[in-house]
Amino acid sequence: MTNVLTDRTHFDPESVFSPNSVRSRLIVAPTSSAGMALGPMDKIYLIWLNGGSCDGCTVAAVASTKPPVEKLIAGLVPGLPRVELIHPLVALESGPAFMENHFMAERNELDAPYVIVWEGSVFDEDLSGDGFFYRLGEEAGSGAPITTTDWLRRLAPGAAAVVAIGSCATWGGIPASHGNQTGSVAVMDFLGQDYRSAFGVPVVNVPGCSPIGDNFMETAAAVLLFLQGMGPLPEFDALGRPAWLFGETVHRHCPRAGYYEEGVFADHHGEKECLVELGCWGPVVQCNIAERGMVNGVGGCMNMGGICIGCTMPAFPDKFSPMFSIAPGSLVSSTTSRVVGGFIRRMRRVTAQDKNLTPRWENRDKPSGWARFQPGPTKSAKLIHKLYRAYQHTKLS
Amino acid sequence: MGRTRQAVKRTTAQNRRQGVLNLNPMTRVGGGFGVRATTDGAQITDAHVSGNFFRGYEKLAAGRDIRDTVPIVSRACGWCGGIHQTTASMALEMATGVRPPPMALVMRNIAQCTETIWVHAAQLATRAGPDYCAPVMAETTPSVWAKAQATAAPNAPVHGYATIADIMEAMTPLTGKYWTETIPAGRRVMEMISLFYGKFPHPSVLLPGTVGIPITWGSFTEYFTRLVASVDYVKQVCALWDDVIDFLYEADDRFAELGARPANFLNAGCWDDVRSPYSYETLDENGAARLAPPGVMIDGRIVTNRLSEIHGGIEEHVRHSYYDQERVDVRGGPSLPADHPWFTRNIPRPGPFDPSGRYSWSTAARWKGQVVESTPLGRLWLTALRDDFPPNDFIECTGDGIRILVPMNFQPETKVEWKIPNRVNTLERLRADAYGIAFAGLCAAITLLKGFELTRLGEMNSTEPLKLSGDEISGVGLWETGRGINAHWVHAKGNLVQNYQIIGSSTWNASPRDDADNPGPLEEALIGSPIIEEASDGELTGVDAMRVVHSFDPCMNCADH
Repeated sequence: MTNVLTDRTHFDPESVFSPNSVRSRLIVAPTSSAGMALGPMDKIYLIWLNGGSCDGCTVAAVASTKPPVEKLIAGLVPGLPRVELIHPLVALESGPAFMENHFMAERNELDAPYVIVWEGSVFDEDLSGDGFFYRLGEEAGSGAPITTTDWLRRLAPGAAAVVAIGSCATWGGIPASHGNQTGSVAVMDFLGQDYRSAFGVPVVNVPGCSPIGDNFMETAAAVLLFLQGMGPLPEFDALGRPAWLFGETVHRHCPRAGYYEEGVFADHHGEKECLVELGCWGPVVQCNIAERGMVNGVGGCMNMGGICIGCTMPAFPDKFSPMFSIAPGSLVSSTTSRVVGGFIRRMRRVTAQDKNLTPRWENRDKPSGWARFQPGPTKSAKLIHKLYRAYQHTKLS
Repeated sequence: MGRTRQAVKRTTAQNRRQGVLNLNPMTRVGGGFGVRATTDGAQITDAHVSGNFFRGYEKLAAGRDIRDTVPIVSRACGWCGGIHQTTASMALEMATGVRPPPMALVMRNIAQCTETIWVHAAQLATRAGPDYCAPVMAETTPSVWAKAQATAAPNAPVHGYATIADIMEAMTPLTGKYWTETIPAGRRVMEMISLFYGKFPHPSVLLPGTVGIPITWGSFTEYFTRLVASVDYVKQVCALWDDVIDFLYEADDRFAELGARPANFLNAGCWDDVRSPYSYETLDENGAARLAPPGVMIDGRIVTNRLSEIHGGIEEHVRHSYYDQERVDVRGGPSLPADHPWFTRNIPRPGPFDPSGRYSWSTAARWKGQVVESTPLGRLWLTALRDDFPPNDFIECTGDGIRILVPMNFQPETKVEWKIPNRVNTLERLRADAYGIAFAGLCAAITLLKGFELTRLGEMNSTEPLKLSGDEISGVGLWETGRGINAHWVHAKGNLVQNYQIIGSSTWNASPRDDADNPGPLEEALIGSPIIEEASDGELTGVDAMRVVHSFDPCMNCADH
């Protein structure tokens, strides 16, 4: 039977169901008089491809605010090129018209450079025999299915950059863990150590399950600003992570780290103290969720009450299992902080008591109506305060 | 042009557009999805829908510490990860006997109402809405577009758009006001989910028996202020979809037939009563106490409301899917048919796309052999029919609809009313999505007040510690996402998962044919659907098939896993 969908050789740029890469040729870029186009590029194609993904990274990217995704794809962020998004979850066009974007990229017919963003693991389609683990479109003549793994192989060499978003794409993640039936690997594993994009860049990795949307967008914006000749070359670490985002352990900026320092640990979920003894891996995991939050500064893991399960790390999830048992290393470190921190905590409490007294209240009742019985400092505490203050003032001379 | 000439022209065009509509991939669907339909030019004559990808989450869960399944299996879907974590927790709660305290259930309910809002809002604005946006209408149905420009929008005072065409302009992706306003509104909803589930997507604080957030007055206040900031959006979405849907029925009566199928629904219900224990023995009581009730409806008549009976009738067929099925021996399992998902395991067998044989990575979920859809339309319908909705200030079930009082913000307090439709079709599914936002939003408000009450009573604890016994255990979690039912089965021994089974809402809706060769709900809806688009040169864009597909909001992440 004949195919009644629009023939892929006759796409009308005015038709809303034509490929985005055909339609977008009609969009006139804002001129420099509007103060928008500040660099050489006024647009760039972003081809979003999925392997063993859950769309969670897409959802996370929607949550980004720096810059907001809807502004970037509408071309409303000054200095940045308009990002023409070719994403299966956003495209108006379906079927062959949608796939024509990819064929055009392969034939080098796009009117601007393209970046590949890969979400999910990369399947080993040799294991799927005469079937597939992920099919996306068909060959024009034969109608043979094309797998997304094929698309990565075909489009990676011509891409301005390949960005792996999320821990499945960066390291393999859950689809590549114990029980992997699809031969799932990371983008880096698939493209190899020698891969360089058309612009000479190795695979850029933004890990996390899902990553913080702003981590992804900030990295994308940094790369685009650099390509525009405006921003500095962003720094990436030895595994291709944005160094300024993943250089610190999440524990260092954790709002509960102060409890760790004083040796106070939660016994149960739902308590406010340090979560290390419930299985939190934060002290060794490189991530910035504690200070950045998840969505527009809200949410996160330990800051909300969840243990760190190590989702940004290459070893996730297998080497962090069982996740809800205490990590072996914590036995030493948390015992140490219990002993040392416990002493410090008690000393701090004594000092804090003193700092809750104005000089006027030291030898009389506090005038607060909120509590009747307000014992003053004990004799020994008073002595400590006296010595402490004497020492404090020696610093002046 | 005379009526006859018009008919002749239409017939000629129809003859030229007989053939195959091969929409692979179908875009604006979660995960990889394809539709292969045939058409005679006037309607769709046959359809096969296929899940196009596979990751193997059931096997990925096996062999792990039972607690690890909660964060692992939720990562099957990034749209409704919280719902999968909740369902996974419930399955383990049934298996281990741990019972989450009331405050944990309050937090779950609020977060789950909010996640439902997120699914509906994103569905309407970014997945289904673009099928009706101005450029699409102008190109595919110029006559309807001309009417839209001449038709005043009855609800203009609420949503602010003067004509139907103005609403359709607002639905345009990237530039339309409705589309661009929904992205930041969705972001606020994600903040609201994060307040009670830690983070989104993929929450960070759930375990069986626990929502591990130290609850404070601040938690509720932060949620409350954001909920209030969302109420005007809710009123506008109901108003603008009412206008568009009513207009389309008027403009071309074939829209009533688009995606039509019998009123066969299955829903598991959601949003628990915080005092009602969840166990296999108490499934019926627990289900009956949920805000959105469980139920199976065949041809518009309720067959059962008992959650245990609904669960017992679930079947998973694999004849047209890339799987073989094998039995699993579960000691101490309930008395259920031997091929019930409680006792089965699916082994992947990849193969080519073969419409007469295997053609989808989704299995076919059926209820006692019946083809049922699990959508928000069913949820509202079943809710409207209940006469025991808990007394509250916002929601009233009238027997033929649901009245929802949406509080004031910048716009005055508004009573929106959803009516049970006299047909099940594409547009009514979308209307249910719109009113589903109001319903879920006010269910969140009802639960929020429950949270305040528990705080006053001093019941702030949100954790019941989980004790690991190592025994052979099994259980099921039955819950609901925005799209419909979600079910997880777990079987464990020595605290390690032996077998895991997931059946998501799209395993019902977007299923291939079953063992008796009955098409799935989405296939049923496609077959016989009219081709409304007016292609002059004999070529089709496939927009009508897209509309039918998007009304089910299929998510292959959940269906295929």
